[in-house]
Amino acid sequence: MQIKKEMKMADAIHRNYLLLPVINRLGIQLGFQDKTIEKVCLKQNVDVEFFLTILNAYLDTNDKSSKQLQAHSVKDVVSYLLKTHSYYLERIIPEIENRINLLIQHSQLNKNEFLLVKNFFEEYKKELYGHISLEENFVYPYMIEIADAYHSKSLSKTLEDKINSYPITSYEKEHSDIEAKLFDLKNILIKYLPTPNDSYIRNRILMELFTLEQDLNDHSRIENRVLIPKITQMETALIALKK
Amino acid sequence: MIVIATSSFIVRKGLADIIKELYPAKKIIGVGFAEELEKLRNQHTIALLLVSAEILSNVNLSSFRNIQTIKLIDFRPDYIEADSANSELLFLDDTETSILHILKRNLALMDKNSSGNKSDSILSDRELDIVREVASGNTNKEIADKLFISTHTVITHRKNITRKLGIKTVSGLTVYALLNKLIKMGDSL
Repeated sequence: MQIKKEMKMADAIHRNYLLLPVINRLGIQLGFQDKTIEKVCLKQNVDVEFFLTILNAYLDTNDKSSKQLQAHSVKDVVSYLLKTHSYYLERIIPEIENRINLLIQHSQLNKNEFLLVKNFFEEYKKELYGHISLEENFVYPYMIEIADAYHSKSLSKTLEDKINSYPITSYEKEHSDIEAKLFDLKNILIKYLPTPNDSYIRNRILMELFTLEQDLNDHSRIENRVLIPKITQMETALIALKK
Repeated sequence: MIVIATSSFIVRKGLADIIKELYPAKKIIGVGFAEELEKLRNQHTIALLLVSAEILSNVNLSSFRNIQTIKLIDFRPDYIEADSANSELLFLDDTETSILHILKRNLALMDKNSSGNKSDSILSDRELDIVREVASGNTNKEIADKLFISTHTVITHRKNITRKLGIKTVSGLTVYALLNKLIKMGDSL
């Protein structure tokens, strides 16, 4: 069932608590009493239609939800994705790091085993950061440039060159190695690190990793199913304009 | 598997029943002669061996050195030689409590030992070779040359390894290899 604007904001959270960081990114903070989603969005100055589409796309991963998201402006979608980036960088990654540091204090892992996990996570982090900075410095600005040109129906020579040499599809979605590393890290923690006396901290790390994974999947789904098709369409239209 | 080796039928049957109750999952085999025991030893991995002194004196001891062993003693001599760190004594005329205690402790120990080796047993020896090479930073081509197999074979092995372990990346395999002591720290990187 889709989340609708008449629904109470609190009920959406009760349906799936993983929406908590999602609503934060969209500009909604907790403490909304018994107000409906529409009222809360109105009060906190958030576009309710966009809000609903993002939430539904997060919960329901089929193409229909992605299509709805295509109706929204490239700028809005990109600015949402930028907020997911800062959530990863400022919140979730440092939190996982802290917990990995706790792992050695509270377990009988020897120093080398601990360093293996720590280094592996460092590597993962480096790749994730690299990927994020590529998107923030090149891919997203390019998308916004294309969208602006599309709406003003004017194509500069430099942008035309960019489209011809580096169309959006050339930023091949190299999410794959980052996803694979996350997958490996989960299995190392679940299966291959020596059995601890108490699994609590390791459980916490795993839960964070599973949540991060789900969030990253939503993130790449939005890119692959919403932004890339949309920008490709705009690129074609802009080039056609010139002919 | 667990092997009970003694010429006494009643002891074999009795111990097998007790162990089955304590640890239903494991296969238990009873043998009555030293030759049978040696044959089993060559064909299977014995996780725990319960063996009488008379059978033990008729086998090649060195090939049993690494097996977790309980020696079955049917009378109490004045002096018993403790000849191996891996073996323990079970007096057949002992009380129920102490017999159960010894069996339970050994079954738990067996469990612990076998879970430590389990990761090895998931992969074939050849696959372990490949993991070692990958984790040491070699490319598929280098591995193929070194092990005298085709690159195609290396790739097939790697696919199987990934499927079995649930580890996809080279750095993940390196962590796996180090944790399982397939390579030493310093061999990688």
